[in-house]
Amino acid sequence: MKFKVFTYIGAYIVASAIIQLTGGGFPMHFMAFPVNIAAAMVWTGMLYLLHSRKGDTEWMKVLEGGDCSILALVLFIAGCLVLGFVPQQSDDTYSLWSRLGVFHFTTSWIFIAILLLLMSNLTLVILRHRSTNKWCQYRFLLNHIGLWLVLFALFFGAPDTHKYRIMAYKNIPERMGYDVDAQPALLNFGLTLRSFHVSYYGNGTPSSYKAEIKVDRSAATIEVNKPYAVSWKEKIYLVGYDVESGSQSPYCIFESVVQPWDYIILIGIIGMALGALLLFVYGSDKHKAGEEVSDVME
Amino acid sequence: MLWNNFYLFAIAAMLLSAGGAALAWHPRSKRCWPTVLTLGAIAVLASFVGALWFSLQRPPLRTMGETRLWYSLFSIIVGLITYRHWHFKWILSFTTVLSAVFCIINIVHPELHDRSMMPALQSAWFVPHVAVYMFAYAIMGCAVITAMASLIKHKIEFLHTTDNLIYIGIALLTLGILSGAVWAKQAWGDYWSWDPKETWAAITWAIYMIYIHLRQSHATWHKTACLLVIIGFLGLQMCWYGFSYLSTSLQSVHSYSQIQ
Repeated sequence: MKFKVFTYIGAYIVASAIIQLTGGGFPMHFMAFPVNIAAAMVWTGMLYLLHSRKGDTEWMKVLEGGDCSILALVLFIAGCLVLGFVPQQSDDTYSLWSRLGVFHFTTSWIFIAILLLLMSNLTLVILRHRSTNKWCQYRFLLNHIGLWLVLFALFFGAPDTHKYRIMAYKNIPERMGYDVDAQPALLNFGLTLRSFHVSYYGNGTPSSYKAEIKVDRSAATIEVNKPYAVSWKEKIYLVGYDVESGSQSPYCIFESVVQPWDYIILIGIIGMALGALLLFVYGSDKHKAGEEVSDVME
Repeated sequence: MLWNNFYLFAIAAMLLSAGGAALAWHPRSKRCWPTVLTLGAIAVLASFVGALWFSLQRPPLRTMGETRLWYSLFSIIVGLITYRHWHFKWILSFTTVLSAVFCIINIVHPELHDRSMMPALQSAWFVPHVAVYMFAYAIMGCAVITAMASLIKHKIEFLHTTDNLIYIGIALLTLGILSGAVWAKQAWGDYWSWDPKETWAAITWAIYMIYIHLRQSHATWHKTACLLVIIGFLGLQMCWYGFSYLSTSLQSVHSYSQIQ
């Protein structure tokens, strides 16, 4: 049965490659809110139904098992190796590699399929082991649910992430930004650069950048590592200036980042961090970590 | 000037560490003497790190040479903890060699050090992020030694130690990745952007995750488990410095150019 299920998984990856070859990359914009919410609900609902109604079948046990986790991780590594070795966003001709999306691999159907498989396995594993009375199993749940939240929000939230570059000249209010495709977009705030200052070390390398700005009527200071929060989902970052002019730079380049899924990712990160701390404290010691080791994983 | 004197600290630390490692082999030696000597080595290297931190007026975690320095220090610490906890008399010898290799590289390839630290690195996350990673690297280095010992000697006891080291190492790797993600959000606006260094960090993390899952589901696949530890360690080298030799590294924000 295991071999059969893994053959189907192989066919699933091949199918994603065929879709990539014939239809091009994954339509990220199409998946923006509310389509991503609907897709996420259908996907999780489907997995829940599969688990609750077919959980006892052999093939579901394989999909929920540790071997499937290993296979998903191996495929994930294979996808990451493409990203690690092949320069992304490079202009390429219509070669087979290009058509397979290796130069834009994060939006290729193959990589999306791998991530979806990884998340599906993660979801099923969590569903299978969600009920527990043993405190030691909280480590397992924190690690897995934390990772699930992070992957879920990064995956389904990606189409809702928007970035706009803003070139603001001193004392001139700017309401236009440019997205990653250099398309202009009207911002929902006005940004005015009031002053800019660069400090230097003795050897001439910059030690700090500081831009005094006004966002609508609110005055603020932006530095590297200190963005300005326009709202709960939008932050402005300082990303550039006229290097030759230094503090006299007539303009600064800012980037507005809109990411409504931020807090879900953050909750996932906190869960994973707590899980990691428990891993650190209890390690693989079965006597300390209770029966988790033998109980949880297949 | 301080960095020019590093070889003196390195020689003193390595002599102490080697002394501790040699005594650990001695059949009549109590564990206290190898411990005392190794603690001496740790104190010497730690005092150099502290003095360097003070003289540079910034955490010495910025350059490759500086991270190698921390790796040397953490390798000896992890070796000592492993020795004390699992009583392997041979572990101190290997961690001493590991530490010495990185000290020698630092002596042979001295770097120019200055006080400057680019604005992107001026964050509260800088020290915990890099320090946690370097400690994880040292633990995984020690895990490779125990895994190879398990492969050669066919002793399950060594693999159990590898398990323990990997669990602690993966916990630290996870914390390193998470702290890096939060920092990246603060600095660049994205928790994760598939930057080449991030990608290799994910690969390394996933390899060790496979190890953990394999040990759960196929506890008798000892050889495969040991090979995974070795592959994971290679991934770790790619993540630490290897990625910078690839053409993809040109796209990395970890090269810290311009305002980043």
